[in-house]
Amino acid sequence: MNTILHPILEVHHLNKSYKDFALQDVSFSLPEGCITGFIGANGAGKTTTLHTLLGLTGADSGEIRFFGMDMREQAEEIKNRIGVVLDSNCFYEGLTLNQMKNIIAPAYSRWCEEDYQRYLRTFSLNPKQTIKTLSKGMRVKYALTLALSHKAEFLIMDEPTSGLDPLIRSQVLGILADYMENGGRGVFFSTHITSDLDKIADTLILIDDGKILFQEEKDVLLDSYRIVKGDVCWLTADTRPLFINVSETAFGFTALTRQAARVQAMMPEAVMERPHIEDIMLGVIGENVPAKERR
Amino acid sequence: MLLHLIKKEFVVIQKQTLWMVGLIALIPLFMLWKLPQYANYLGFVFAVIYGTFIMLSYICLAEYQCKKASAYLCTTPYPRKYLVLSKYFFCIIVYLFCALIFWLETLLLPQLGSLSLPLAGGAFLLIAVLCGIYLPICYYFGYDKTKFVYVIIVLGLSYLLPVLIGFNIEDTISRLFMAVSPDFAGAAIFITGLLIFVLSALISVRIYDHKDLA
Repeated sequence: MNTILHPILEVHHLNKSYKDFALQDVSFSLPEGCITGFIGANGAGKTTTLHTLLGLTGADSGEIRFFGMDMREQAEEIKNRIGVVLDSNCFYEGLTLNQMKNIIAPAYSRWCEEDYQRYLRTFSLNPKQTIKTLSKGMRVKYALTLALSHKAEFLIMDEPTSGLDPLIRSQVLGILADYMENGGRGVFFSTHITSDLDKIADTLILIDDGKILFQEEKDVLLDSYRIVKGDVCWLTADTRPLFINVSETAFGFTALTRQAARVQAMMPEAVMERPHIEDIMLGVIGENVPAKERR
Repeated sequence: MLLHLIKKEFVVIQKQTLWMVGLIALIPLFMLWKLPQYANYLGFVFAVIYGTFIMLSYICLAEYQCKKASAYLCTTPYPRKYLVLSKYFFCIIVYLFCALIFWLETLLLPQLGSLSLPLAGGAFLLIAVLCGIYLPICYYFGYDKTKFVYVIIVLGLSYLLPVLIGFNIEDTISRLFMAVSPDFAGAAIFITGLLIFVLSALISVRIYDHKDLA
């Protein structure tokens, strides 16, 4: 029997306009078994995209499919299979953790009280504590607890590590890695903290000014680019077009390139380094600036 | 699912519920003390309006203060329409609770009169009209732009007291429906109130279905 495998999330030509901002023709497809980082600067459209995927805001046009199912037609079934972590202020502040759980749990057909209790213990959360007394890190852990306690197959998270100290960020990222090892089919999280993606992401999608600039496997992306450092006098009319985002000082230049082999040939003494995701993000967004300014 | 969301409305305002129960019980007693000849219908009508509207305002305020909580609930399998319907059922349950409290008080204090079907129906229709108009407007414009409505209703009732004194729901219904029994008229008014609630709920569901929760 042939089994047709669908990507876990497919977005086709998604458009959503506001007065001063628009998502334009956003399309991407997330393979199963991956942690996908959705990166972009502040105001790039990450949260707008996530909110549109989750049905919190209606799209002007486009198609969204989870597990091969259309979000417009099978929203309830899809939502039963996904775990969501939004902003840490998305709970009723006056309620205790257990009271909030008692509101959320009945919505899910596969709610597992054992998992809930286990995550509370793992995160050292007191179920009788009022939500408004929780720190930001504890709220994120609580949101994760709720998202992970109904056998969710796919996690969607909106900047889950934003504002957290490095220790808690590390814990959260560890939980995501464990989730994938223990049966999770995918994670999609937005962030502008690229160091988190360096540690955990398999695939990266960059959005800027409402448009997707690239979707790429992290390792392929990091192998495609190189940071080049050299003497300013090596930047000529022939060599300059090989670079993105050139930074020049009195002591030399630093630039990003996708054409490492050609640069190596033309500047044999240049120093080449593997970039970080942040370098690529800044370089690619920098290339996109002229398009924004034209508008 | 809907039952859990209705329960959520009470849990969210649990701290205010206790003293509201006290207020609902005290209003008829206060009327009995100050205006004994009108305590029957004014006591019940005021208890119902104050009780329902103030508790509804607490819920809307809680939703406004925790705006993202509603959005978060919409990411769960709860259908959006259930989040709307839970408020309508909340209003009906509070009304029934007010009626129960008042009925118990009439058993303990015969001076309060009795809770007749025309009186109960008339108060229900009043609440249905007020909530039926207010809730769709609140869903459309948001709590922040419509919170003055609570103030107008609560304060307005005080100013309308002399007018209401001269207006007896039970007598009015009996005069209007002379051809039928008062109880039948009361039941018909109940059903009218329910239809108003249903129509209002349909409008609110449609508004909320298209609302941008981002």
